[in-house]
Amino acid sequence: MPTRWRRPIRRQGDGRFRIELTEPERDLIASAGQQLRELLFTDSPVIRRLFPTAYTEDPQADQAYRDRQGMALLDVRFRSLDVLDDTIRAEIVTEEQLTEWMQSINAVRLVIGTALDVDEHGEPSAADQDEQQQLLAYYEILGMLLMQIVHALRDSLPPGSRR
Amino acid sequence: MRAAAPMTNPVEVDQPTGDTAPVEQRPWVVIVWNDPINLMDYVTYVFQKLFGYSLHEAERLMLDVHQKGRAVVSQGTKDEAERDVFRLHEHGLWATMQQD
Repeated sequence: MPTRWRRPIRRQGDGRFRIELTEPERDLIASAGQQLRELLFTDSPVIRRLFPTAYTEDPQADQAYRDRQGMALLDVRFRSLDVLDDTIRAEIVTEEQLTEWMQSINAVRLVIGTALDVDEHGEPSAADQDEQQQLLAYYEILGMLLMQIVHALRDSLPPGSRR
Repeated sequence: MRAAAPMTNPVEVDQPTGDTAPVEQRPWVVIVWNDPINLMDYVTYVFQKLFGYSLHEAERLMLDVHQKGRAVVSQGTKDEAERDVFRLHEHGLWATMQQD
């Protein structure tokens, strides 16, 4: 008799989320978070994707935005990573904690996708080396995990926004 | 959304309208640009979560971003637009703002 497939991340009646990811999946997410944390301390070009331009038509206004909000955006990244570190082994997480997981995983995807220079179809410009192939596989697995989280979090949206 | 207009024309119009509005009174619009990394379902969810759009409207905006390259997702004062841009940046979306 086939086993009925259940979503590995799903909302409970109390509004929290049950996490049934495997240990390797949790290891992968934790490792991704750690790598992002290390990169945030560098001036690597791939990190710039996490701090986009706000004013394309006004460089002075854009610099002022960066001066005002740059540190706040960096704090957001570290806060999300802290929550991820603290809860990655948990069986139950709150909506707020799962949202921080989502933002961290998405940030890692942005960095990897930028490094691989992926196109609209998710194909990298050049992934012929083993290291790039591994990075691409990592990117795709994180994408699947991200979708699991998004689909679970959708269940917490107000009823009017689900239709 | 604008309030309902009066049914009769006023004798004098003392509010600037349309193209004659001073630059400082024109609303700021927040634009989300297409990028090849953010997933479509993720972008749709972010639009619903941040702006309270229905699934239908959020998907329409997401498809505009994906197919046309950009979509206006909100508008308001400069401060309101900058707040929305920041929230979109928090979520990793490529958002900019400009005066309409």
